[in-house]
Amino acid sequence: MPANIVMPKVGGYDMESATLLRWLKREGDPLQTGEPIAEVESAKAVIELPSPHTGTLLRALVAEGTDVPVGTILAVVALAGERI
Amino acid sequence: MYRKMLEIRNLEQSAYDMASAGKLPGLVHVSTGQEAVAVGVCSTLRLEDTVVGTHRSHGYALAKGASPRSIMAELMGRQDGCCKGYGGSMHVTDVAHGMLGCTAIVGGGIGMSAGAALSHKLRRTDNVSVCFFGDGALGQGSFYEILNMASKWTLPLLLVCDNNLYSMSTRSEKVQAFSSCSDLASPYKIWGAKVDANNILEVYQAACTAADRARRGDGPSILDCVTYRWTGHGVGDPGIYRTAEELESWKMRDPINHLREYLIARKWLNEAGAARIDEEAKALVADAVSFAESSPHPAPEQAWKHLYSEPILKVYQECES
Repeated sequence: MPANIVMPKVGGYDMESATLLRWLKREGDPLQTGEPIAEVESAKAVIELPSPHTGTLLRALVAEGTDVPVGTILAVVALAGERI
Repeated sequence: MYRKMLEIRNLEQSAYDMASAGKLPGLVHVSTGQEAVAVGVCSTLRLEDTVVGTHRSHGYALAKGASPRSIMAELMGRQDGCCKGYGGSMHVTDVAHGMLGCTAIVGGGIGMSAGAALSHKLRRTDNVSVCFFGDGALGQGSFYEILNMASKWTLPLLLVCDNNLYSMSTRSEKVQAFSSCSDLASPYKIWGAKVDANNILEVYQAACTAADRARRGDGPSILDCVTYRWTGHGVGDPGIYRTAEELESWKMRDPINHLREYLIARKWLNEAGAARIDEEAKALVADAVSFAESSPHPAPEQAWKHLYSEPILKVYQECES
């Protein structure tokens, strides 16, 4: 089953939302766990978001420059070994 | 000890992932990378011994015998949590297992643990009291008062510094006058040791010595357990005050891998056995998560219950109406 990547609470203890500045991976790109996939900006910091999964980026659901709440699904990943 | 460390690792990972996705209420601090301190010390303890923890205490509670289900339900604020959902991540308490409570106030548990130690002594038991605190608590004045008093009163107290080198974002050597808190043992006339706390056997050995001394009536000890946290101070901390290389070098010294290699080298465990324990620890935590998710939230009308004794509760209710 494909897995989701959600907007994590990474930029401040009281972070409620963050802006997806830039995708560092495109749809169809392979992903390794821990590899940066996007740059996000919270009220307090700009952070590179590490991939929580190894697999292939199927769909990027959030456009660059969009501010989204914590927990929003940012992308869908086909896990390693999964047929797309 | 190997199994317990893996249980903590998995529980902390689940907690981190859920908090990171905004699914847990309040602030959440996990102890990933520091498991050997909780397990190494608590493995020397009996049910009647008591533990006081910090804001980062899921691991201590689990190592002291609290059930993963009750801890996970507490983190989610559910009725079946060990504090019935009133406490949350920073107040994991399970008195039946000797987990007296945790305080999120830096160094706040040190006085409480000395009180527990005094109680053990006055009741003429050979139980011991353990206080886990972080390196940040060494900046609190109450720590030095307790050190003095515990020594003078020969309290059965283990002061365990779960030293992850950072007080939030401040590296401890920037603010600490001494190089190790175990150096304070000599002036306060107690026993102390600095241990490599990514090696659980060193932690266990030092904790055994300290607990034996306390049970014999030889008074308190201080252990400086030097380790490293793999995550930010709390969920939400991007950890930009330390380098990726530093983090990586500590991850190479994973306390769980260290024990696995030690056991496998002596043929006390094989790869298949280790993999099985790994799977069982994962399953235990997955069960705890689904148990917690199915546990109800406390009803709003329960909000006052268990907070105050009944007469005070009545006054509050009168004020409300």
